[in-house]
Amino acid sequence: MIVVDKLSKSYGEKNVLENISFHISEGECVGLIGLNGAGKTTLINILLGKLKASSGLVRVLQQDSAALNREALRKIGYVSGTGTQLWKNMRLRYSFESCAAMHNISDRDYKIRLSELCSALQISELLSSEPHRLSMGQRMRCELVYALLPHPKLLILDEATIGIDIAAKNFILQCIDNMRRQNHMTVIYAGHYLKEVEQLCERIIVLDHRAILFDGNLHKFVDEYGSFCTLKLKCDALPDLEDLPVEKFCIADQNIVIEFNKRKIGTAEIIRHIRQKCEIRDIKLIEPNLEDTIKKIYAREAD
Amino acid sequence: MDELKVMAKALKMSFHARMQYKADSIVATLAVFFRESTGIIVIYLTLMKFDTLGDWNINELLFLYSILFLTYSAVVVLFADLRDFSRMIREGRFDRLMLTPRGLLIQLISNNADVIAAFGHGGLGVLLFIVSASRVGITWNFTTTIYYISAIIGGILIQGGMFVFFSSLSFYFVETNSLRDIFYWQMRRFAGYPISIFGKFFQTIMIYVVPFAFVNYFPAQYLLRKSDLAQYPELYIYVAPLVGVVLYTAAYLFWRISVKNYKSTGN
Repeated sequence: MIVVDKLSKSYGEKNVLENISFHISEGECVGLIGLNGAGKTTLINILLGKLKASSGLVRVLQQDSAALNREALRKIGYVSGTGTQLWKNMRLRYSFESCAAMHNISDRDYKIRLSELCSALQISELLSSEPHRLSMGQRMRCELVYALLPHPKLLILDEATIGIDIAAKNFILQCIDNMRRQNHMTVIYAGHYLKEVEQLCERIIVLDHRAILFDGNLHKFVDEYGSFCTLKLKCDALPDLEDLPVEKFCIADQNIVIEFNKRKIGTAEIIRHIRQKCEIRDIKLIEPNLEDTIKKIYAREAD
Repeated sequence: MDELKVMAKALKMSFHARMQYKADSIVATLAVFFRESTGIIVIYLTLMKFDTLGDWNINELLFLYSILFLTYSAVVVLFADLRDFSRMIREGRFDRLMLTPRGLLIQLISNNADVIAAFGHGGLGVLLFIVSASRVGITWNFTTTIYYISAIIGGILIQGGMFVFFSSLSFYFVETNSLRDIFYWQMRRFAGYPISIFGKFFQTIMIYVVPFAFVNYFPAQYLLRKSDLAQYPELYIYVAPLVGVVLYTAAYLFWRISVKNYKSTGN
């Protein structure tokens, strides 16, 4: 589906991507993770043929991405959290009709697909409103309908759930997941957070500072790098933590902060240990965020 | 055929979009009509005093003007998106088009058609044509009618070609509006007059640089044969309809090169 080999991209003197190589096969769902400025969007723009790589090979749907023909473009759906493909000031229906015309979808197919997608993404009642009247969540669902109308083989989502609340986000991700399975779609989901892609992707590619930091199974990544968690507790007495194999702990008044490595000790075990001594009144588990995890990877490589 | 369908669709959508508030649209159309009429009124008042302007009488001048209005009304329908193109690039809306399985220009042509300006200019153009065409001594036969129609199409292509050319410049420079303002909008204000009344330098620009002379002056001269035509090669009145085709093709090629360059340099 996608082959990228030794891809580099620079704007003038400034390198944006360096020596990027990966494969994505048909039906895979890949999370592309990186902090702001890591090069995610540039990479996506190159895959889409909007930008040309400075060097290296980029093939998408068996074609050189810089010269995707119309047949190939017809098989690619794209949703970006920052741009829109809907017609502003126009009822949504027009945008979808225009999409059908642009993609040569017959009237019959268009009607079937639109009603399917509208009921799946629950936007049927929005068809007569203009995009600026929609909430962020509604708009994103509409963008997704637009992208999915031509039944793409490859769906690329670039921070598509930015600014959307958790419930709406989960719903959208669930829909994408269902549709991916039904239509054997290949999906690339670019985002900042591991949490987002967790629901959708098994494989992640972590980009940082122009290069690929990690490419592989999401759980392996979490196990390997994301096992340092922080537990914040509020207890009515002071427990004894000396014997526990945790990394660090700190007790102030009734608040206890424990940093531990999941692979050495489970959360449940810590809690069981504490409850032997006292009652827990409040509990909060902080999973590692991407920034910390990336820092840890560097730290490990430096060792 | 398929491409025509896309264009028709875009036209229909633009019409719906612009006509969403009907009263508003009618007022706006009238505003355009009267704004453009002021130029005509100035000419009219001048000619009441002087009778002719470089040998051209009022009806001949109105005929000359009508071609400009008629062609422009089609230009704003077909090339409205290119008229405001640098904004489109800046807002990143153009990048979207690259992902649609259609030619880039075909997606822009007739998109966002400025129906209001089209009615305003077109209405004035038709009115001026009706008033003047029968009073300037043109024999309307098969040849002159065919010539007139091709000249109108040529005139649309000349201005469309200029829009395509200026839009292509937007791929290299962020801000091209002032350039377009000088070379298109300002020049267009002079195109309502017979170019022979201007100085030699200005005439050269109007013929060879921004060839408005081929939009209305030379086509009108084919039909009117005023004495000032002697200053120019007679060939020009015959090739006038073709200039548009050549100019548009050249602009299109430049557009293609520019798009390619835009992809490799980034945005």
